[in-house]
Amino acid sequence: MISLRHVSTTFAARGKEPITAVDDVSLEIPAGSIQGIIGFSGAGKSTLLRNINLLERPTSGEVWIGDTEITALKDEALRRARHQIGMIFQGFNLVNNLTVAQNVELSLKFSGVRDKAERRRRAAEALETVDISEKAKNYPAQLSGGQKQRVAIARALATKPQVLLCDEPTSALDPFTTATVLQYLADINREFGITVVIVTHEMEVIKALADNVAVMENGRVVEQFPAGDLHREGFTPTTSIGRYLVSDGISVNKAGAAVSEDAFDVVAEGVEDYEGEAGPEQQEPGAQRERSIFAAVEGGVR
Amino acid sequence: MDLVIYRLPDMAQALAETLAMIGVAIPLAVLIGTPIGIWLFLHAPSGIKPTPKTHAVVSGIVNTIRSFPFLILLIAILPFTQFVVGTTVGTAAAIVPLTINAIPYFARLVEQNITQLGSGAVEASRAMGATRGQIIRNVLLVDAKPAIIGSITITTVSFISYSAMVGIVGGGGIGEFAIRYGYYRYETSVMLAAIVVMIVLVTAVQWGGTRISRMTDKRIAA
Repeated sequence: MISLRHVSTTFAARGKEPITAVDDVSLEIPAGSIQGIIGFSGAGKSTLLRNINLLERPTSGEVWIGDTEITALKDEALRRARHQIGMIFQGFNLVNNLTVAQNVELSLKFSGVRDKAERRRRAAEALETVDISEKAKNYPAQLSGGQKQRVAIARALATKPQVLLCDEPTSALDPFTTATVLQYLADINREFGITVVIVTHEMEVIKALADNVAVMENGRVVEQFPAGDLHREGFTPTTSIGRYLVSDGISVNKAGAAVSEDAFDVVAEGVEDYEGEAGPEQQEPGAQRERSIFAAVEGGVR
Repeated sequence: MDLVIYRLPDMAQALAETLAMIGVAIPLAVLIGTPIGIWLFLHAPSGIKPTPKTHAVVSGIVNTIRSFPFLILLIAILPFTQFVVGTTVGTAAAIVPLTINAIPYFARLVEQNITQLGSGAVEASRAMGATRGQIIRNVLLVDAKPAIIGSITITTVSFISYSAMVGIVGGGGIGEFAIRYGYYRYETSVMLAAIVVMIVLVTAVQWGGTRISRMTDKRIAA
């Protein structure tokens, strides 16, 4: 479905060394799947995501969605392709002086739906999908973060896209709200068969939602594995960055020793040990448990 | 006090002249300055459609006009004024330099208003496949509206004050009235009365502007 072929993106600043944000990335994302992209800040994951809809045009390489080479498109053709690619952001990026309904209608307006009544109907439908119809006449400032993100999802969905790009969609949200938003993304993926690409620095998000995960470091995809592996006992990523991200732990070196690449290994190994001792309860934050959390959330929301 | 009453008809006419000058110059400045402000934002080196060279030229022209002390601009463009309104004296002639001065002033304010919005909604719109025109109409102007109304208020107040200087071309107006009778003829009470009128005028504009701006601003939870 989405195919990234040797994609590289270099930012050239005058008088400075050019920065390679994305370095020769090739990635195949099957239709209808949820692809996680994980890495630290500056790993190039957001740039890679923005390469897909050409918000950031790759310096070299090709991006394909279905039979269309996105990187070959310009202006009008690119805009039309973008109508089929929804996107949500960490900061929600809503228009603050428009109501919730007007925000959702915006994507329909931009995609060329001229009939006002149809725009209104389809916006209402999209808001229904994320259960936020009752806020249709409110302004973004009157909503919580989770509600804003749901409006953003509705806005992205209203045009019935084939692809939904998610740029750190839950990084500004608390864990409970995160679970709610992820549940909606999972539902949308299942119900509409939309291919979802989600960028995050939280392995929990990947674990809960993704089918496959690509680990990025210094602009490269250093490791890929099925997200289901994360639920498998004794699973260990092959790269140190992968292990560190799986450990999901924040560690502060209070002794004041220099933090090096090796420190990641130590931390990751420490956590592995910890997980080894943790017993079955700790080891089974597996599919069932995640789903049951969501079931509870879902029950509460709907 | 008697003197003030004696001068009242003159003062009323002067007030009418001020209202005429502001009433024409400010709408014109908004009409012409807004697109220039948007253009400056879009084509800035960091804008959506960077054209650094043309931007530098337009920005330079804006800065040049803004650098002129108003009194000098007033005189410098007399030939242009003659060309536009067919005369270089009177209220109509005064409107020309006021407008010329207000356009770049307002354009810069609009540019600031839009720049301060942040790029989030614009980025989302680009991702939705919006054209530049759609982004300007549906996102930038919508979110910047309260700030732009604030800028109209500021410009109006500034130019009520500037309009006092157009006495030099016989432009009239309440400010010129205050200078003519109060300052040159030592009619202090008349000057004070004129200044009170100006204070009332400025206060009314500021109060109205702030109110409208706040009414259109939905960025803060009500």
